Amino acid sequence: MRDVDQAYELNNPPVIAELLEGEIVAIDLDAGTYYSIRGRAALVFNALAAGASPAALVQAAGGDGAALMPALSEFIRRCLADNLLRPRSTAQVMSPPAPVSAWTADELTYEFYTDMQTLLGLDPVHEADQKLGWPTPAETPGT
Amino acid sequence: MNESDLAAETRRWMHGILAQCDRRAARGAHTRAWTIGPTTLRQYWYAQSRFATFARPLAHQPAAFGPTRLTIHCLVDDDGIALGQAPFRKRDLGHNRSIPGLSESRLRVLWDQDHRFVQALDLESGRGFFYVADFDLLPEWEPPIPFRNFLHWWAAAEGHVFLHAGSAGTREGGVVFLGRGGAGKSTTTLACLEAGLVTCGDDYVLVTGGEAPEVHSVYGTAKLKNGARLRPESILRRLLPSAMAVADKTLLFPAIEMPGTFANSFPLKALAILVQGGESTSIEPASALEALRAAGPSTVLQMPFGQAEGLSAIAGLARSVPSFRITLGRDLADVGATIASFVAGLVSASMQSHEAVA
Repeated sequence: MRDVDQAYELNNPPVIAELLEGEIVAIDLDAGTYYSIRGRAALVFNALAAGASPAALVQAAGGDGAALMPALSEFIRRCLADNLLRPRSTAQVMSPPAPVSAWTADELTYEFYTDMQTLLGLDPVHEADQKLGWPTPAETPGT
Repeated sequence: MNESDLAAETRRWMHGILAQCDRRAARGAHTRAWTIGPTTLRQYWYAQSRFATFARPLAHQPAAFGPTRLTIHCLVDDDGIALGQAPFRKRDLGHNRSIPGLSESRLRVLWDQDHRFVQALDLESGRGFFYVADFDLLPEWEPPIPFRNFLHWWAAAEGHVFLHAGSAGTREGGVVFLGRGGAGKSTTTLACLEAGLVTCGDDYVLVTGGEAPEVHSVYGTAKLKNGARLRPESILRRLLPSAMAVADKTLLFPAIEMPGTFANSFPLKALAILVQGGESTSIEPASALEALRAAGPSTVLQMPFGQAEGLSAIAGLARSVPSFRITLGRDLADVGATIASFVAGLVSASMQSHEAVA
């Protein structure tokens, strides 16, 4: 399969997302990081998370693929690096995405915030380093 | 083990423990119950008398004896109830020590290996247990906010929100204060009490949704960070004699000491985002999105299970009531008076709106 035909989905878990007033607030529950994805980036992210392939999105934008694809590929690369999206593991026939107006590289961006990571520190997921077994008995293989 | 096998094994394990709890309770138990919004919660405990301390933050809302929606057995080893071998392993642990493999079931389990406790709830029956291997290892934050996870699990399943927020208002309506820890939720709540408003809580409240959202009290406490720059002195003089030290905070019990300052519930009229740094206190409209950003991450990052539902429910609240930004000034009396005036305006506007519709 060509990269431009790869479909994606929201990386849930650990990421959850909500669309409100045209902006997506996404939260990575493992990292404690949250993201603000606005404007055209929110529309593109939503379409990608719904399973639209890059090729289908470019077609829905009705624009010049040579001009649109590099910015879209970079946006997807960043979303994958930040664990916001993941490739769909099974081939699915997706309905075509809703029309979206063409984008520029400057528009396909988002902000992230790490100020809530301390919340995880207050109530942490610790890696236990002693016996595995409470309430599982210690001799039971655990990992 | 696949997800359905894990759920089936966990259900069998939990129900075996709960059957032992029933037999143990039949031989004698301590019990208390409380009303929290539209639900009731009953606690049973046996040999470990320190579980009785869980009652104090909830004491302002006692429930009459009778059927309860949530029943939680608090257990220690001396109770003679064998946990047996749990069906999950360390590799099954996910966010906030929950077992995400159970998320599609109606079972909720939180397993803290370091502090050696297990919290488990079957949402179908509303029955669960809180097992503590060593009460001395229980984190300091647990007794002041007892049953937090159980209440969150129940609320998320019912479409409600166990919201990380302070609150103030009158019995006709009020606001919730949004912001991360340190934003000033507790201090603002106490300042509002000095100004004559009532509260449903300073840190966590239950919000039921629908067209007419309501705020409900959960804990009758207020926390004040030690060394706080701004302190509502006159109210502290009444509350400090019965206060407890919890980590770097002082835990106050206004619902017990000043019962008139607490409301069991009031209609939610607005979401209020707290911002520090003003010379004087000011209030201006904010977007629903700002409210979601202020309440969403700080609430759902504390949740084991149900985070997506929680975020969605908070977004629903932000859509259903207006949002405002309160910039807190340096004078607490001004903070309280400004918010009291603001709440009076919201309630008045709401009543006029209802009269116009009628």
